Amino acid sequence: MWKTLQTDEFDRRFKRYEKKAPRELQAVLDNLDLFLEALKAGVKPKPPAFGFLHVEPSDVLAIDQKGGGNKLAQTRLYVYPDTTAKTLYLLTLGDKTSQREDIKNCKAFVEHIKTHSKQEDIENG
Amino acid sequence: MDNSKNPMKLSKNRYSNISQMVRGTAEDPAFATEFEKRLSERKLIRSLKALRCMQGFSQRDLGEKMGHTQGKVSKLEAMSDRDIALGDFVKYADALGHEIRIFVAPQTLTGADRVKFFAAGLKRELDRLVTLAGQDESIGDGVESFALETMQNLLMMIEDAITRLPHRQQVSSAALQVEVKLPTAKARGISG
Repeated sequence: MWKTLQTDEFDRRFKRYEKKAPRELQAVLDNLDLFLEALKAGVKPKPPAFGFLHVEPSDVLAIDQKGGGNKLAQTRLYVYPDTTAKTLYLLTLGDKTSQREDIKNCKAFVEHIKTHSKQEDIENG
Repeated sequence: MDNSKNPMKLSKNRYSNISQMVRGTAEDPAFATEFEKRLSERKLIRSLKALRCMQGFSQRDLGEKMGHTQGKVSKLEAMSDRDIALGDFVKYADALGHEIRIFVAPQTLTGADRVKFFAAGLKRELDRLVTLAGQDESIGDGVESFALETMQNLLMMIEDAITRLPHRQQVSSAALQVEVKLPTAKARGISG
């Protein structure tokens, strides 16, 4: 069964968005819920159908606020679905201004997770 | 790999659904309540939207099937269930090769009542299959094998539910074993 695991950076930004942009946060969480349900159903979500989904480097995916209501600011929730461990990593949240830095950090973090889990695989035989 | 410069570190909280995650992360419980309300007010349209996404159709694809624009599909998906015309629900489901089935039930229906309701539905559908089999032995064998498989799956589901109750992890599956004695093909007069 798929589970979510979040970073402390996601925690911090979540709390910030909760105060500063609650409508945008509700919208991306709504899409995140749909995305997780698809993973649980065994579907590999494809971006054209999931109109709110964007593919970023290193298997990082960005979920936006589309479909959540009118005049919402551009918002991105960065996730990494680890299909082997059935874990959806909630990496961070951001807007257009932080996009570049967010993607860079998410990419580095996911590479770190992948290397770490590969090492565990080797150690566990 | 050196990850010391990365601001991200994993927290220990694991959640099996987003509502739980929101409840566990939000500072203001009202935010979590608002999120749960948002999901529950759009249950039907969200499940149809999920179906569309899982079938790999974009809003434009579905719009074409429904005879609508992409904008109309987007608008429908953003609405709450009570604001969508029944005809639009039917059209949306139809475009996905599904149909809408409506159950009218008292608001006071308990969890146990719902289980009984679905059990009655199961009996109805099995009776329908038995009627369909009529006197045809080969369809009858198929229905029998399906019914036995269904019974086994139901027992497993019930056992799983019971063992998840507090302090019931040690429940022996023997308590749920059912001996089924069915007439053999030979006894029914069918030669091998």
